Amino acid sequence: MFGESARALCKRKRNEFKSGSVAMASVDKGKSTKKQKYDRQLRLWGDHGQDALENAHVCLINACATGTEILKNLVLPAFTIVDGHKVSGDDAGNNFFLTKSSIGRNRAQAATELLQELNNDVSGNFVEESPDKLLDNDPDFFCRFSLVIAVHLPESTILCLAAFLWGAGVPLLVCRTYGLIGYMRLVVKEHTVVESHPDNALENLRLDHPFPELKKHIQSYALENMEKRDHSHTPWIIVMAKYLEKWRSEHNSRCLRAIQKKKLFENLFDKISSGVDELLQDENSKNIKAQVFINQVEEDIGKLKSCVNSLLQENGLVVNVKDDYIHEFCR
Amino acid sequence: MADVEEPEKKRRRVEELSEKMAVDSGCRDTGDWEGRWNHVKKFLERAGPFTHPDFEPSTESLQFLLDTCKVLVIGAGGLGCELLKNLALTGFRQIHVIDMDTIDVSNLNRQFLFRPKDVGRPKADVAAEFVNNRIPGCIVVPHFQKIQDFDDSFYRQFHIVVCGLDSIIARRWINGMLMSLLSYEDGVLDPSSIIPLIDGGTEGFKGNARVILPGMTACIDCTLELYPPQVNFPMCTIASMPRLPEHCIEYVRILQWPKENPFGEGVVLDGDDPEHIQWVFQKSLERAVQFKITGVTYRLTQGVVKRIIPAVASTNAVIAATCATEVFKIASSAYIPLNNYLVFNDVDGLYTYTFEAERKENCSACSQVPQKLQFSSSAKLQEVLDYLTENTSLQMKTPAITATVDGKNKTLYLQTVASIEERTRPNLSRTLKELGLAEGQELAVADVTTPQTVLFKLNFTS
Repeated sequence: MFGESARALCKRKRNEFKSGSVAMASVDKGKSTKKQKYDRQLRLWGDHGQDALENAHVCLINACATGTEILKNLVLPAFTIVDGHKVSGDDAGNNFFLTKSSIGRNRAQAATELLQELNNDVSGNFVEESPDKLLDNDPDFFCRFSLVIAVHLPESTILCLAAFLWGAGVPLLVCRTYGLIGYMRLVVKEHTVVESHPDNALENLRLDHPFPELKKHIQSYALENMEKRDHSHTPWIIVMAKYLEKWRSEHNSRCLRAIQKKKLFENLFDKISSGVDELLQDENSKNIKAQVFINQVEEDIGKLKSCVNSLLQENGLVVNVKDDYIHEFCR
Repeated sequence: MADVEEPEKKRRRVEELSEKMAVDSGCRDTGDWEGRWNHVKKFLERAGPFTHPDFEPSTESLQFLLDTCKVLVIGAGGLGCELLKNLALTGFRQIHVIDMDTIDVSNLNRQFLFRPKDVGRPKADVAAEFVNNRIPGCIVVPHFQKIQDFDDSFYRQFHIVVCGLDSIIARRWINGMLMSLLSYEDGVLDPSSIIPLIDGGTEGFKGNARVILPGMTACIDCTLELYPPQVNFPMCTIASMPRLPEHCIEYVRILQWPKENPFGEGVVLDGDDPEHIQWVFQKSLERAVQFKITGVTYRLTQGVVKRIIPAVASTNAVIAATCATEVFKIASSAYIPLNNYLVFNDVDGLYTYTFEAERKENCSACSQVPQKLQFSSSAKLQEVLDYLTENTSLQMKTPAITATVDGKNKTLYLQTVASIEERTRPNLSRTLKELGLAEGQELAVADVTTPQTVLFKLNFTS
């Protein structure tokens, strides 16, 4: 049973907090050391991403080399290793988190010790049990985790585990390595991506339908009368919008497909901006062309709704799209 | 360092060293145990559908890895730690590691061989200690030095070189070094002079790994244009029309610091000094307020000043694993190596792609083709200098140009030594004719990007 066999091994070295201001100072110092330590990854996913990682609790089933490598890279979240096996000579030979002295001991416990040693901020636990037994006797054990990683499990166990986790809404990562081949499969019902930090965001600026204040602002620039220096310091959006206006006045946009329009526009832009060196060195210049989408807005909501519905059906999804969702989406 | 040794000598030396370690440390165990190499043996002692067509299973490959094969790991940072772990677990027991850096707190999120107590110590030393302790029998020899501190006699001893560097200049240098070890007989490359170079690089969620067989496949310089240009903002933007918080920070770094010398005359801005960064941060904030720009933070300031590249454990793990696998394949000849360039990106989902980078016919590093310089005889030396630094295939940093004029070796321009720079600076505004250079003249150019001087042939266009 989980209650009896699970022995939490929390080796968390914390500074002893004395009272009042000393404690505060310790907390602040701890916080700033953490910011220093995790600086390089904070730059990737920010404070919220970091918090999410620190508050996660990951379950690894089977502390073989593939599994311990995953935990090594994660480092931050609390982890629990479920493994009923004893460490063999083979295991100790290919796993950085097992040694000769681990041989014969429970693999979950031995690996937890050396993984725990990586980072004092982290709490590691182990359960000396086979996942089959847990699934039989106490499947709810798995509900506490943010993610379960199953390494080298036989199919029967995976199927059982996967069915349970699907119902419990816990994501499952199935992994296997064999010689120079490996695979991983992520099983998650729905995953929301928020606060992403993309390298190059392709934003649809809707420059073909500028809002009134923007239109007025664009009109206040007279590019033809500008000195080269002023021209090259004009925000590129203004330049883009101007040329877009010019292009549309020269072309009847009705009969061309979107991709053709885009190509024609790009050619005109290239011709005119070839003399403008500094503009093209601008931090966003490489995205300029990609960011202009010449929108074709369908004004009939009814048409839109049936179009979206049929698209979803084509892809095997039975969804009845609500009117207010369409309004919200297309706003 | 030692010359290339015969296998028997090396084996004895490894044994001696192991014994010495056991005596010294007392608790260190150097013996193998039952089943230790069973996983590796499965790769080397039986045939399979993925083995190299010429591969014959035997016990000799494993013995070669364990006793003889000597690998050089350059860099003991994010990639280096992973590489050392991977190679040691695979059975490589003679590993040298070079790293000129010491451990910083910000390394601890991914360089897992280091602990808070190690901060300030040389990376190479700590990494070697950790691996030697965890993997009995493995001997990692650390070198707390720059790669440029060693010459060809050092590099010649290795069977394979694998890099986890954070600098393109360093990559080009080691690339050039391995090229210089190649020997040609009657124009034919001697295969035994080839030392394969496996190179890995990472940046945030992106990474790449490549296999270079010097003299045979594309080298670092062949594909120099693949590296994205460094982001440098135009000076007029920084000086008078800033729009981004980065512009404010660059203004303080480039213009305000040298003018105000806040920590003393001639004290250079040190990105690792929090007081320096704090000063830059405050001044950048003031400028940002002036131009109504938001977004200046301490973290951004540090990032811009130090040109910090974000880094995370997982990308380093993937790229190092790829590199270590290639080292294993080449050392064992058991599997077909990567041919020859892999890119990896898991920002959005997971993307990877492999292609064969092609050699450049007139590569300044690896082709035997003499390099040409074509200028009018009335062109100024400055133009030649600009060409050497700006040309995308050359991208030299601080080239020093010498030539033989009237039978004497003449330094035309050198900027890395202040006194010589001052003396030769007037030459930059002289014409090539005035400097006494003739048609067909050879110019020798030295630069940090290569251990050997590059010879250029000067042709006059008019």
